[in-house]
Formats: sequence, C-alpha cells, structure tokens
Amino acid sequence: MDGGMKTLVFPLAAAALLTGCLYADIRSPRAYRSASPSEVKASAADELVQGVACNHFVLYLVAWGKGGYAEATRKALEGRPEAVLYDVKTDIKVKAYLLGLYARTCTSVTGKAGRL
Amino acid sequence: MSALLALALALCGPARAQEKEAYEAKPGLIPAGGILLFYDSVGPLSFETLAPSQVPPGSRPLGELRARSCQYGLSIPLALSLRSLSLSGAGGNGGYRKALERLKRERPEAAGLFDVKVDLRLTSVLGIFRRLCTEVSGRGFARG
Repeated sequence: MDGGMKTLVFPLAAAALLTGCLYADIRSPRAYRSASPSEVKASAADELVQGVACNHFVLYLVAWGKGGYAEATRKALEGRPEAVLYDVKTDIKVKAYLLGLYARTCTSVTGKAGRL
Repeated sequence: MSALLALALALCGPARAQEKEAYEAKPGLIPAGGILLFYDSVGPLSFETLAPSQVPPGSRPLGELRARSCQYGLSIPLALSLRSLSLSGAGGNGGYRKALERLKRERPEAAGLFDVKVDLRLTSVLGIFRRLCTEVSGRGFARG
C-alpha cells in the first residue's frame, strides 16, 4: 500500500472505529394518512397494488436508501399518476445476513388504486 | 365467590394497565449522546391531515407537493476508542410547522395537503455530523 492510500485509509478506518458509521443517508416511515374506501371513488374493479422501498446497511458502516412512505407509495402508484391509494396496509420487513454485516429494512405499502 | 371476583379483578388490573393508548405521541427529535453541551431543537409530533373527502369542494388540484425541515447535530469524539465519550450538540427546527411554512412560501397558492406521507430522513457523516429531516409529501390543492 503506498503512502497516499495509507493517508486516505487510516482516517476513514479511525473514523469508523470512533463512530461506527462512515456515512448514512436513509429515510424511514413516520406517518401516512391514507384514504378509506368512502373517501375516494372506489370500485370493485380497483386493482390491488404494492410498493416496496428499502434502506440498506453494509458492515455497520454505510447505510443508504429511500425506505420511507413517499417512495413506497410512489412505487405502488407507478404508471397511475391520477390514482390514489385507499384501504392501505403497511408493513416493515427486515432481513439481516452474516451477523448483520448486510441488512435491509423495507417499508411495504399495499392498497387499492382508486380515483378521486 | 367474592374471593374469585377479587382474584379476577387482580388479574385484570395489570392487563388493563399494559394496554396501550389509542394514540401515543412520539416526537421525532434528533438523538444526542455523550456529553451534551447544548440542545435546542424542534421535531415533529403530530399532524392532523385531510382525507380526500375533506378537501373543500371546488378546489383546484396542485399535484404532488413536498416540504422539508431539518434538525442538525454534531458529535465530537474525545478519544480514539470505540467507547469514548463525545461532546455533542443539536439544534434546528425540524417540525411540521416549519416544513409547512416553507411550503407556503414556495407555493403561496397552496391551501392545504391531503393524502399526506411523512418520512424522516437521516443523514450521517462519520457519526460526527448528523441531520434529521422531516419530509412531508402529499397532494396539494388551491381554493377554486
């Protein structure tokens, strides 16, 4: 390893040991006021849609993702710009492998796509 | 009979005490550990939003609108150790009110939001700098 690489790696390793995290940019769900069937133009033919948005965690050092409601609902209504979700169920799903060296937390939004 | 009733009440009491309230306020404040030098922060608590049916009749749709407000934190480690203490501080206004005031400034015609989603965005660099943002998104409407 040359001197330049050492000067780069050492501060990063020291920072990781000090703090346990090099960089994180994640979104987590907080609140979602979804509609009930009586609040939209619901019909029996409305399609059931699902959107999943995830945050990823690697080696306890780096975390990234858009695991919030905004991204999950956007994915659920992809290609249906005029639709609105109703009768919504939300779940959180966590997967971790190798003592948590890689982990993923996902927000899942399931509902029917209705019209306003 | 009275002994049985007393036993039933005794058993039911703790169970009732463990029941959760229908609504629990959970503030979204930025965490600060170590030796706290200062803390002056506002976080989201609750936001009573509109259902689609509550939008005033004759309103004009504005499409998807987004607003954001943030809290910031600094944490300076005192030694090169995993368990070392740190000096920390946090501040900023990451509350709903600030986010919605910002939205009102950017889109003065917006009268309100419905179909509202709220996410918390955490950005952290080396654990030294942290930012916790309240991100509000929803469908906006303007008065006809």
